[in-house]
Amino acid sequence: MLRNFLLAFSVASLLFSGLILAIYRQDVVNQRTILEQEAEHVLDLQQELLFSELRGVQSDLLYLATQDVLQKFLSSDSSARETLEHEYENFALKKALYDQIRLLDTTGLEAVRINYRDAKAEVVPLDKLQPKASRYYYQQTISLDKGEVFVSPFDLNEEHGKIERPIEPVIRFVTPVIDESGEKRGLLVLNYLGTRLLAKLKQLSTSFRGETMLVNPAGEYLQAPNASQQWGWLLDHQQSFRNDFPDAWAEMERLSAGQLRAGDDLITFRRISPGLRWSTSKAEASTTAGSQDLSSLILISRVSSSVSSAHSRDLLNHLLLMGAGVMMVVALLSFSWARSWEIRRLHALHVAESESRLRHLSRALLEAQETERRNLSRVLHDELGQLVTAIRLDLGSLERKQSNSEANSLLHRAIEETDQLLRSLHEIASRARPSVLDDLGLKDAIETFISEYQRRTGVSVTSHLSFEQDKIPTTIGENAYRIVSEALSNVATHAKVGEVEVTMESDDDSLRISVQEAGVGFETQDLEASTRLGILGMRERAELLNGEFNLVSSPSKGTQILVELPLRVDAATFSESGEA
Amino acid sequence: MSLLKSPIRVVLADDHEMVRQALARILEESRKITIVAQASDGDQVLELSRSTQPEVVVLDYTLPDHDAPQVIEKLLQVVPDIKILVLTVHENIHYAVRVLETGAHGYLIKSAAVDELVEAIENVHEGRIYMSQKISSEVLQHLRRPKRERVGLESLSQREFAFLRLLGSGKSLQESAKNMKISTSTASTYRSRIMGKLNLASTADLIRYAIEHDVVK
Repeated sequence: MLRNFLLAFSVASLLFSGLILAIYRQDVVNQRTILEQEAEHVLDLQQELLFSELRGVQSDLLYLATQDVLQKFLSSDSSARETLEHEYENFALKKALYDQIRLLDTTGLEAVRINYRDAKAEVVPLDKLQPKASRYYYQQTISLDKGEVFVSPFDLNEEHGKIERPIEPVIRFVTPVIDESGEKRGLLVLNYLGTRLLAKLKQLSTSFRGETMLVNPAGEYLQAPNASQQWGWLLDHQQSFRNDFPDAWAEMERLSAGQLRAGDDLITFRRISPGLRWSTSKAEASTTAGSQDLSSLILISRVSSSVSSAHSRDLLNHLLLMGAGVMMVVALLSFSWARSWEIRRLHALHVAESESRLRHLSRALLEAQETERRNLSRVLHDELGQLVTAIRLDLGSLERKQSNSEANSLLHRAIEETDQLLRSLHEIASRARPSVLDDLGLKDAIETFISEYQRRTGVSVTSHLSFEQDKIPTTIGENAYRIVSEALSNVATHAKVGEVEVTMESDDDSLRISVQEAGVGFETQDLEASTRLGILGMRERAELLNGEFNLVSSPSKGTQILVELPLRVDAATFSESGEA
Repeated sequence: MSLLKSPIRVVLADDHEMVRQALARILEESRKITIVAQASDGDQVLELSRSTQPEVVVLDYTLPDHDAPQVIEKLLQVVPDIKILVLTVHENIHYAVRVLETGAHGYLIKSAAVDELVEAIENVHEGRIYMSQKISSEVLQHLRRPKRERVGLESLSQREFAFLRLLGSGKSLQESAKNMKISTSTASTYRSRIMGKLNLASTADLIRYAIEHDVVK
């Protein structure tokens, strides 16, 4: 039972484990694809945001550079200064995007400056204006033509040569200012406040399962998962994307966009060049590779393998949990299967045992019956028979001596009655068990039965008895005798026929009996006829001896009974029955 | 009366006391016979016959230790010229035939002893075979029953006939054996037995015979 249980259980477990593994593997592959798409998607969004923000700044700058108030100011209208300052102050307040709005003259000196801080715009008085000729944006921009915009790299605002605290990320947008006569009169500078942009970028990635970063062309963090990693080159710490992911960085420097795997991480990146997008064709031509463009920004997303496997692991956990449940059910099913199989097996065993017991019993019963009959027959022949014979002899002797005719006739009658009694005795004894079967053997017993049968029934019997009766064991002999006598009795009772043919022949292997007549026959499907006690008895006898019993019959075509009794295995069955 | 002959010396054997005495009375009353010993089982018969050397033994067919045929065989060895008359309750010719085959000289139905026993003893004593009148004609009938010697195909058993049919239809010995569910060696025995019964010399003859005699369907 345990073996069956283990068999069923392990097969089911194996199948189920295979299924779980397949689902898991499929999910790993699916998850990888989904994450790759998610990473691309979040960068798409960030790129779109970046472009639209920076495009807005550019159009603001170009709008300010062509304002009438600015032209009036340039034409040295003294009242125009105040109007311009007022205009810029309003602009700064409304937009809330620009830390500073400045007008520099061609020498790099601040001409007008509005500072915007904490939702307040403030006009810087003339005496506080600073020279900015040394700053890179002045030097880079002074040579630009009308309508061209310089975009600075993303960095931190400096005041008086020092990084402003708290840090203020800025991008400077600069365009030349041209007066009505077409002369370049200075530069308009917008300090775009990067904090808001960085916050928006971050917001876009909140639902993203990895993390996003913004990195400058030098591989420094502008935005990192952890704020302390940012602005390393300005704040004098060593943290940078370049240092954190050197392999990925080496790869990325050669490309403008892509997706790569660095160690266990999936890295997706886009190189964005805000300057390139709006600068002239000349600038574009001179800037062949993104890496050369100092103002370019690199959007990066990173998904660690732990994230990518988290989903599959969750799924696996669910599957395993479910699997545990299923396994319990499978175990129960296996158990009940194994148990029912066991019960069935035991039942079959039980049935087989009962059958063999029944068979033993049946055989023992038949043997006991034969023994009983043999004893009865002996008692009738040898005890009673002898006694009556003795009486008969004495009466005979007496009759001889008697001369009285009256007494003699009485004696004669007594003798006849005694003879009658003797005949009855022997007939009864023979019917119980013919002593000729024990004394002389099967062939003589059959012949005796047949001649007696013919005399009694008037049915003519043709017999072919070709077997050596010495080679027929007692048990087989007595059963064969019973079968033939039963078959012949059936013929006399049911067949309504005047002739019957009995054939008995044997070889080394078996004794074959055939009793055939051309009488009325019957339908073998007719259960009542087929199970007549006589037929059942014959079949039972044949089968107890491991023989075969066949009955061929059909209405009006007569009946043939064919029995084959094996002679060789008899020794085995006989000893078997002896034990029972 | 005893001037003509001395009485015939008889050993009487029957396991049943009363029967034995009744028989003894019949014999004594005839005065032609003297009973030299009475026995109640087979061993006693042998022993007494050896010691008394009777001329005739009257033997009941059924003795407690041996049946008549066994006793007869041994008696004839011990006293070769002894005459044996078997006495039974069985009015069955097969018993008669059996004991005569074994060497007995007469067979008598016990209940007819009053009328026939003395005559039977005298008969066997004088070297004739005696058969009880009740069954004598039947025994003779049985013996002259034409022992119809079956010849040719009729001499074959059903199995042998079926086997011949298989061989005749061109099947090999092995195929035929398989078909009949018997071993090849048994099949080989069948074949030689059939060839013997049909007086044939070879398997080829056997097949030809089968075809010529329409054995093959």
